[in-house]
Amino acid sequence: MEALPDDIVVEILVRVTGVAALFRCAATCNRWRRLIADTSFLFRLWPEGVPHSSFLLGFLVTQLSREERPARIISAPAPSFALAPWSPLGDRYRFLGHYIHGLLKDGRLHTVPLTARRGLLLNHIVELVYPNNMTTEGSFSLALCDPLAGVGRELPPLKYNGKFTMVGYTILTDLDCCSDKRRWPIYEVSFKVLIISVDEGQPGYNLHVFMPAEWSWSTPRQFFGTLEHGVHVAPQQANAVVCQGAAHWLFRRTSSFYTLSVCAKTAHMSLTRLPITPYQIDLNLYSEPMLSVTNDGMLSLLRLYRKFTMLEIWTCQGDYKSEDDNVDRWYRTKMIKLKRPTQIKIDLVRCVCIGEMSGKLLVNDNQGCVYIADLQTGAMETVTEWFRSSVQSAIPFEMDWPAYFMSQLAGGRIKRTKLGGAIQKIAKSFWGLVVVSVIFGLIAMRWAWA
Amino acid sequence: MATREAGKKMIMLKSPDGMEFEVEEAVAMESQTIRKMIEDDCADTAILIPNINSKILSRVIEYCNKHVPTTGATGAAASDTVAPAALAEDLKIWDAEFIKVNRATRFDLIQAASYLNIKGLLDLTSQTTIDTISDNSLEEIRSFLSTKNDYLPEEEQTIRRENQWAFQ
Repeated sequence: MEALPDDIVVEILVRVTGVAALFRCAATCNRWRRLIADTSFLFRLWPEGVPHSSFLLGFLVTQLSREERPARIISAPAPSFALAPWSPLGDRYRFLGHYIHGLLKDGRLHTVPLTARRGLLLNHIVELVYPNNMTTEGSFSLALCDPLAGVGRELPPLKYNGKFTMVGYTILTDLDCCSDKRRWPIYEVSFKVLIISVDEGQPGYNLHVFMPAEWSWSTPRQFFGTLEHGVHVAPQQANAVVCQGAAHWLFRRTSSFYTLSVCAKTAHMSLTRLPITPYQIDLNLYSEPMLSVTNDGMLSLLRLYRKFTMLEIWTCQGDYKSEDDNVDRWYRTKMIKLKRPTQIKIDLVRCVCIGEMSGKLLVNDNQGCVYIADLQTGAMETVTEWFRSSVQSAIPFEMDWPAYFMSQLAGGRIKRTKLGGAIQKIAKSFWGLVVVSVIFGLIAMRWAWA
Repeated sequence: MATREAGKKMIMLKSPDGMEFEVEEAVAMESQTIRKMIEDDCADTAILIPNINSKILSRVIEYCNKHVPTTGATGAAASDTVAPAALAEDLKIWDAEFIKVNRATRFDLIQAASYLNIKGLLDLTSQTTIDTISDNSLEEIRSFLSTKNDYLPEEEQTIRRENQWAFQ
């Protein structure tokens, strides 16, 4: 195909079905790699702001909640990874054990997936001596994994005093630091891990940040919400939603829902009250609300009217950053009727989790059936066969393919050609995201001139 | 859609190697490039098609002849008529037969379809090419396309090692 001009090769490549096949094409020769790792090409395949099912690789499923698990079980199975039918990952990814196992030492039970973003997965390593995460003193073990690269590494322990409870967590990357929707071009991505905790009997929230460059946890930063004068609100959604340059968690008190937001750049924290009140008369009427992101990157809230499978979407208009009651800023912007698969009776559905990038909602009903609903069309698809038993909780595992292709294929390689091979990669951390480059040529030249 | 005087108006297409093809205007207008020329009145008697030799051009015309809407002599555009399912099925079989050509010819057809802007033909030729690629391993893709592997061995190793999911 050497003879074909670029625009024609692009015409062919744009028709490749399957992410894996496209990646293999990029690996055939440098010319194809250049054509594929190109923003205009990648955006043609995955237009910005448009949900695409291929972003969703699967769900990490916890099938028994921690409370129900008998304490004397010595080893529990590794969390299972329910792959989406269209997922390019093969069966060996179905059980994350193939690389998490190496992390488990004596006296440790198993790992619980907490959150996943842009291909990185944060796991809690549950210790045998601390069956739950409420202890007076000690440390908390977490591990980061990159299932696609098949590697994982334990983070330094998160030490604490007092009655520590983890109420929120997320992974942030450079791409999240700008509230601007356009985030290109990116070649190298670095990340950090954010943990929100509360101490029993103490007011306020603690923010712990893990920076991979220093390979350590920051000194916890305290925050006392002005809204409720330091009174705790209970976590509703521990897995953060990231948009508008910040991570957002959903909390509730008896009378209201709140979002706790942490700015990705400055770590500024704010607490905001939402206009939606927990429904008190009939708990079965609405499924628990969940935060999500709209296609144009605004914070939104989903609530499922259980009986009629009607989905209510509220959107925060404007800036989330405001310590005031910004109840006025939230509007109910959309109602979606979820369309049940034909001839299937669905009873009292419940939202399990939302894939923000793919626009897919995982729901289950009180019969133990699991469905995937498309947030654009409302069409529901039965996926019960993905799961081996009933789903307690799940976190979506999504991949930002354009960013992935750019970082894997364009990366330091573009710069290297520009500088005539002067850049040499000397260190690359285990998950292949943090690339440190040293320009030997320039240093040598400086020496020569000195 | 401008419907010109019946479907009888003929257009002369010339390939760079001197061959001339007389085709109905409606057939020629399957190509968006030619359609634009005609609509802009740039085509008096003959249109020279550069870069496409007579062998390929005749195949392209064959494709357009088959795909031009057959209903009536109005010369209406393809989108005006909805082909019944049977006809569509028939076309599909015809397409499958049409695309059974060697690799070089297929690439020539892709180029011609791209230049002449014939969406159906471009879809057909590219899709056929890509179907051959999609399920294959790296080596098979390379040998099929006779693409040279210009990666450094360690570079390729790194890509494979860090992206095992794509090479399983």
